[in-house]
Amino acid sequence: MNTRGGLALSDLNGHVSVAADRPAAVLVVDDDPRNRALLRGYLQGKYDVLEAGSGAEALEVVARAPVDLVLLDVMMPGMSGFDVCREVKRRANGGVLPVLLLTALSEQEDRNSGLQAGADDFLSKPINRHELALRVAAFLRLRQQDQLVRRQFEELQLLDALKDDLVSLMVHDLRNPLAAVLAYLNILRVEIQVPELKEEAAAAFGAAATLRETLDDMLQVRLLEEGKLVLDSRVHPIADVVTEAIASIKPAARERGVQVGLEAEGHLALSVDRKLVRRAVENVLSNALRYSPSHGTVDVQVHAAGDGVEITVADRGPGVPDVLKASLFEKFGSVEAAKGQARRGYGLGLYLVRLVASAHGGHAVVRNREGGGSVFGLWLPASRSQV
Amino acid sequence: MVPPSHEELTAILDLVAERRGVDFRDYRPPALERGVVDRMARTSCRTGAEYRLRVIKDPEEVGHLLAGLIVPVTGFFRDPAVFEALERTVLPDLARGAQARGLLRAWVAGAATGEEAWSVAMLMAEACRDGPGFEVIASDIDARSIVAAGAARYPREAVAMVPAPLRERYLAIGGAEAAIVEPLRQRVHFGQHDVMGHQLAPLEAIVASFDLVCFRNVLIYFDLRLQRKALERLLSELEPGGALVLGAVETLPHALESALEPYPGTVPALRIFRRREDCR
Repeated sequence: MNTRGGLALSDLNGHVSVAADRPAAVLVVDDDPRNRALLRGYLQGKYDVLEAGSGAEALEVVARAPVDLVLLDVMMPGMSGFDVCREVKRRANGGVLPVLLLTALSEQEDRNSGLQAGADDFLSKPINRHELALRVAAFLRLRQQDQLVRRQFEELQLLDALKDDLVSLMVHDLRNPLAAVLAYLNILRVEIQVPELKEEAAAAFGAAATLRETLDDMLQVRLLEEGKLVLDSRVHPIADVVTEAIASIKPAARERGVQVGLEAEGHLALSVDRKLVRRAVENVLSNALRYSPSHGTVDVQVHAAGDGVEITVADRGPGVPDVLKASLFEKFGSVEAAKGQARRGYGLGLYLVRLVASAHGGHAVVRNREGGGSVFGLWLPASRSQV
Repeated sequence: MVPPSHEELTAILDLVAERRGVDFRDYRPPALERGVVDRMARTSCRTGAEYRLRVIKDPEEVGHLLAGLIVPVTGFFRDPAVFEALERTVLPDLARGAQARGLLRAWVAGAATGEEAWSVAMLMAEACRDGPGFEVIASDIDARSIVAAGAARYPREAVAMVPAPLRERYLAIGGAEAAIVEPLRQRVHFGQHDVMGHQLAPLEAIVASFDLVCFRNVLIYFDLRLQRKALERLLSELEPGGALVLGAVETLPHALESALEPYPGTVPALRIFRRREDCR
């Protein structure tokens, strides 16, 4: 599963030929050798001209040689120009491979059949020399631009993958020394005899623990993105999972003076990866705490919704403008990022919520809270269909 | 069918004059009435009035009628001075220019029964002996002449004007008949085409672009306005540096003087022009 946007590389396997380091290749398809030689005469010098004497031969050429544009006679014995056009377009697989139909007929019906077969334009015989030159050049320019965009897209994907690898490497390398830091800080925190320093030691331990959680999130996001994370699914009462999550953010809530209330339908149980869902709920809770006014309240609900369970966390924060709602669950999305301001969180939290929800076949939830503030959460289906 | 009355015939000729500038109203060739009756029969018109309506409604019909009225004057190497200039100066020049494309192309319009087209083809074959390839598109408004031209068989006396070396190379003479040899026949493509019709060039040309255009037998039937229109259309199909051979046109329309110049190295009276390289 690739959750990072619409196109995967496999969608783009049209003919990617580099137009910059060779002249463009024009394939002339006509059963009459004289016509082929004629068109070759007017195109060679400027372009590489390839020839095919039938529809079948044309498809062979397209399969084995780079072709940038096809000039195709409509009236041929055997496979008609329309069929060849349709097939060439199908094989171009969404890439731009222009096909110009050569036709002796100017009848509308033939033009319609040509358009239906995906033809890009028509040239009527006898062909005007200037029109031939101009149209071929125009459609080759279109192809060139299409290829440029594709190349850049591939380069970006490659860079993106490299960057992801680098991040994974760093996360792994940071986790081991951090585990040691946490262990030693824990000893210090418990054993320290100087009362004035006890609070500092506890703060250091808390900060290091937060750092580890962040690293864990990054790791899990990577695994979920790559579809490499196998869910450890078992049936759990959802209220229990949420209660655990609330317990783990209690210290932070206390510090900000925020009350966290839970209202749960206790009987609701689903087959879920307990650790992942807990982490997702923790992230929603941290988000709510971050934006709640101090001494406010955060209300957590677990209730049946549709054919599943909705876990929601409602805050009295500033709320989220409608236009930003969708982007909040993007990687590194936040209200501040969207407004171009300094970020308050690290931006992976809600993205992880979305990934966890969709790994379970559910989705993330965001809406306005009545009377001000926002409701964030996730919906999980009762019978999970893995996506 | 009732033969057209004098008034009906006049009305039909008025249309021909108006559409094509060919004015038969002062001089009526003997074949004129026969030509109209022939077209009436072919279009199943019973009266002259009915046929006149047909000419009004069907834009192609005036062309067919004209084809039957015009008596082509043609022959192998008619006007030897023109062909000499083509052989010595124009064709070697054009053949050099067409080397890059690999193909020298000529269009003979108003080819009638083909004598001029074969004459041009013979000279092109000579000029292109060391490459490039060449081809001739020959067209006429009359589909029947085109069939005769494509048959490429002529009475022996018709080829008397063909220079002896060419006669040996390109003609097979047996008994009273002379036939064009096969290799040359393959170079010439015949097609029906009306130079004032909606298609700029004959369909057989595939690409409407030529190094040499012979227009010797066409313009004489047009008035000045239509001559100019025909030449303007034609110019768009002539390669820059290409040659245009006209017949007995008195003057080149004024508007075309900037685009055409007498072909360098030829006598202006031969009416061979070159399209200037820099025009359009």
